[in-house]
Amino acid sequence: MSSRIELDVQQSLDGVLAWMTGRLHLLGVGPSHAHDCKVIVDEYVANLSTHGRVSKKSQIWSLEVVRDNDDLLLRFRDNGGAFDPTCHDVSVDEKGIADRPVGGLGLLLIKELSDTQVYRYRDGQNCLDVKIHLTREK
Amino acid sequence: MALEIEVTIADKQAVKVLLAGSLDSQTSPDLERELAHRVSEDTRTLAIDMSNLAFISSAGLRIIFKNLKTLKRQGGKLSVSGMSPSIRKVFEIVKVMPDLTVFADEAEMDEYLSAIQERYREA
Repeated sequence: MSSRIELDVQQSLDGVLAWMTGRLHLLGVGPSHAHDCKVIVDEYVANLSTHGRVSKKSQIWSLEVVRDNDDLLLRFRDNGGAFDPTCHDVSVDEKGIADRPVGGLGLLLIKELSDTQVYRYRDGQNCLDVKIHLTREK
Repeated sequence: MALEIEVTIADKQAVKVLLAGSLDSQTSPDLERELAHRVSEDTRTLAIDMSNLAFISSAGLRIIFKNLKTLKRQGGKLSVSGMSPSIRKVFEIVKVMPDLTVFADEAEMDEYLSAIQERYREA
């Protein structure tokens, strides 16, 4: 099984999530971390659809899933408009739900379900590396 | 993974929905449409059973937030039951647990709904 998958942002996520589930199983990643990875992928693609669109050209993104001892690395690449998800304030205030906006939760979930997020824009591509320490429950 | 939505109670004041599968960026519009159709200005209780829900992302949370805000404005409540640990973790991250009425399982929620419906009938 390849460690990387590439697809158009318009394509259904079902295929990539099924691929990732198989890949994580092969890498010995448990169901709890696998669930977190699915959330992170769903949020990444939802952001790509919302913020990354620059023209009508085909928008391609890829995901590479690599395990390095106790670290799991999700490497996202896409050719959408430059968007740094790590530079936004994603804190949730303590107000009750009635006084809070309903949006902005996706970046918060990516941050809270992983341990580090590193972004750079290189050669016309957004590059986001998300690392999860598998031995630590967050 | 698809999302299955089953509405088992839909009267003037209470709506109960069973969710199964995945509530994500692709399936959340289905739930949004269903709840827009079911939740009215008279609704005081929206009960969502998640016993068979495998996955939720922020797109699904947004639909739940939106309905929770509507119900609060109307003096109502949103109840959930059967959250898996992974789904509960997502709800805890976005700090919405204090705003929800949480039941361990569907049976416990049904008991609560019966009591509520009885109270409405008496009123």
